[in-house]
Amino acid sequence: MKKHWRSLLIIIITIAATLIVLIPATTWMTANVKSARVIHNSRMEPVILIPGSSATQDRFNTLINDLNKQTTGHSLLKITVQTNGTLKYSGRIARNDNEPYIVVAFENNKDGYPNIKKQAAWFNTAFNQLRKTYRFNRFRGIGHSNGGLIYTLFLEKYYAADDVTMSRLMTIGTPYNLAESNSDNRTQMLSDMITARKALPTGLTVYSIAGTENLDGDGTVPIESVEAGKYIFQNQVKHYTQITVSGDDAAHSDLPQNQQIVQLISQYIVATPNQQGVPGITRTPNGTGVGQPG
Amino acid sequence: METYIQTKLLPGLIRQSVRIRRWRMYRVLKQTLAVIFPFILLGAVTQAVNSSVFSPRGFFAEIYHLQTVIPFYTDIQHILTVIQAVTINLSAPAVAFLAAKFMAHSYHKDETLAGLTSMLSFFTFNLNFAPGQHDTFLIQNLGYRGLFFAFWLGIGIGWLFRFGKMSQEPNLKESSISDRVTNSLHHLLLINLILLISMAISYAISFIAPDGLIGFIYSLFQFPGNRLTGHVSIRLALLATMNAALWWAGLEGPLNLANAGGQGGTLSTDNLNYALEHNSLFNVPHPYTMSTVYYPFANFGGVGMMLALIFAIFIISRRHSTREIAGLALAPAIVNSPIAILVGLPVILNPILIVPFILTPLVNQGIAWFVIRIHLMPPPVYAVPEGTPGPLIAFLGTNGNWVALVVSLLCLTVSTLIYLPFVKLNMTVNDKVAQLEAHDEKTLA
Repeated sequence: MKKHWRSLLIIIITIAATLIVLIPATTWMTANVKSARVIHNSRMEPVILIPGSSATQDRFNTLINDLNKQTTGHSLLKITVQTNGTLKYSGRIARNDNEPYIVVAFENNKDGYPNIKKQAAWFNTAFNQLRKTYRFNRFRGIGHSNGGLIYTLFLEKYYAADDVTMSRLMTIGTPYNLAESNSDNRTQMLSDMITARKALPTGLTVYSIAGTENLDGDGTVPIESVEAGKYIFQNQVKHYTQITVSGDDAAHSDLPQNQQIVQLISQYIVATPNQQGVPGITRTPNGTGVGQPG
Repeated sequence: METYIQTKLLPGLIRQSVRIRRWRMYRVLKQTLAVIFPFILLGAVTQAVNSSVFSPRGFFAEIYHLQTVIPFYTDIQHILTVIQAVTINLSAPAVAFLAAKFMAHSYHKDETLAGLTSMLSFFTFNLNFAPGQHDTFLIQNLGYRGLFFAFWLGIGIGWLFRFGKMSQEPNLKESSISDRVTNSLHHLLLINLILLISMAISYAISFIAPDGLIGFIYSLFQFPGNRLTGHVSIRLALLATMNAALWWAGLEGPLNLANAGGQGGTLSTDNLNYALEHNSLFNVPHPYTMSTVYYPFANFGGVGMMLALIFAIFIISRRHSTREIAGLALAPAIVNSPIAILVGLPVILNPILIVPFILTPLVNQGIAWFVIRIHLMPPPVYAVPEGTPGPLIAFLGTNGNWVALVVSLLCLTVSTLIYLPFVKLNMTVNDKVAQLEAHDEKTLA
């Protein structure tokens, strides 16, 4: 009986000693790896923008022009992915610019689920090419209209969380249920996206912005279709925020120029508004030449 | 099969081991190590505390932020370093003295003179002949690194004293001082000859090896690791085997956790860079290296999984002295310093324990290799602080992978199970030898 108690005591002491060591050791480890990672993170964290259907790589010129009036040092690179997968570049990223805007548009910019799937694959091609060229391991994204759908498909199907981290995504007037205004009638695309939602990165913060010109929506996309995004993102990503914007410029195609949305972007997406020491950023009214060395 | 093992193999093995134990040299080894053990233990404990608590990058210092908690931190560190310098780092001359003393004693010759001569000869072999302002002796060779050479030097010189002119009188203690003088004079020629020859060899060696004879011996054992071809697992296994064999012989093997920082080199840096750029460790460029497979899984308590040996002793040994040695050596073994148990049991040159000593690291490496291969666990690539307890290295090195912790505990269990039968066999042989020795003494009396 005495021996029994002794071995019990030894076991209790061993477990206690292990915990006394293990718990602070784990805390140390987490802090250590985290700080090592921060030091090692790529300096560049681009904001990658995808326009909606029928839009070209110049779709965001006005938006970026507006943003650059409030901030300094962000250059603009525009890419159009051809149907054969090759990339056409215009503009360039300025030296020392750690937060450039990169617009990825598609030669085939047609609407429709099969096209959106193709565009997601093309975006993946462009994304890998960009990562190879500029060597970043983190980025933020903005998708207007179908651009938000392309981002969602990309995240569910192609995004490799082992290699790169997407911390924030803003979708603007994105029709997660296409033109369907009744959320009970799920389109094929929406149910596919809900099925694959577990692949979405758990560390991502998503802002979904809806425009409301009238009580039904922004005139093109029904408000219920934008709100259907909650079935995809809610309880899977880290944060999912739904914002509704009304007033001037709340029509679907005006949303990227809406001053409230410009404010939201500079508040939630742009990490370093004023970058020092970036040469050659000139501002021209129509947005062309932004990012060209002066 | 069972009966064969029981009737033929085991008794034969025990008989052979008992014979080896009763060899003159082996008895001298055991006596030497027994005498030096307290000093080694003090040094090992000091070293363990110094490297894990009182060095700012040590394990306990890091996790409890001890540098800001303990007053007079650097002063204590300084004192501990000095204690280490006079214990472990001066153990080789002591071993040279003791080995010669016990060897001469076994021939009933003048043991004090033999010991003294041997120690001075050892110092002679470690003179620093380099020109300019230098230490008189090659201090790096006076610690565990020089133990192997010191022992065999002592054996040799003790043996030479066999030809000393006068056998030691049993009542020399009570003899007059003039008798002592006469005795020393008798050995004058022998002592001077030994020292002069040592000096000549030492000087000659200094031309080819700046590190002295001991440095020369180590250069013979330089492992041609990068020249080896073949599968990576075979390379790792060969290196681990070689390392264990050297430590077993009383030489410092190439794999020493104290200088593990420089071991992995570019491979570890590649792995770490990959790990920091990507979020997953599974696809690091070099999944099987010494710092992903050997140190985190096959080096608990230092070379040969000494922590497992200590546990095996706690489980099976009924001998009070053995359990006590294991208990004393546990503290340094927790922070991966093996010297206390290597010298205390002893494991050094022990013909029974060499089998698990070489086998357990290989088995553990195999387990780790397999689990990493089937992608159940990522390879540990993050650096851990010095003196991290063995079973925690993998967990911390993978940034908290629980599978790695489970595999570590599995490795510890398997190693303990491997050690159990050998510890038992060692016990049986020890008892037999003790019996025979008691019998010898009875017949002598």
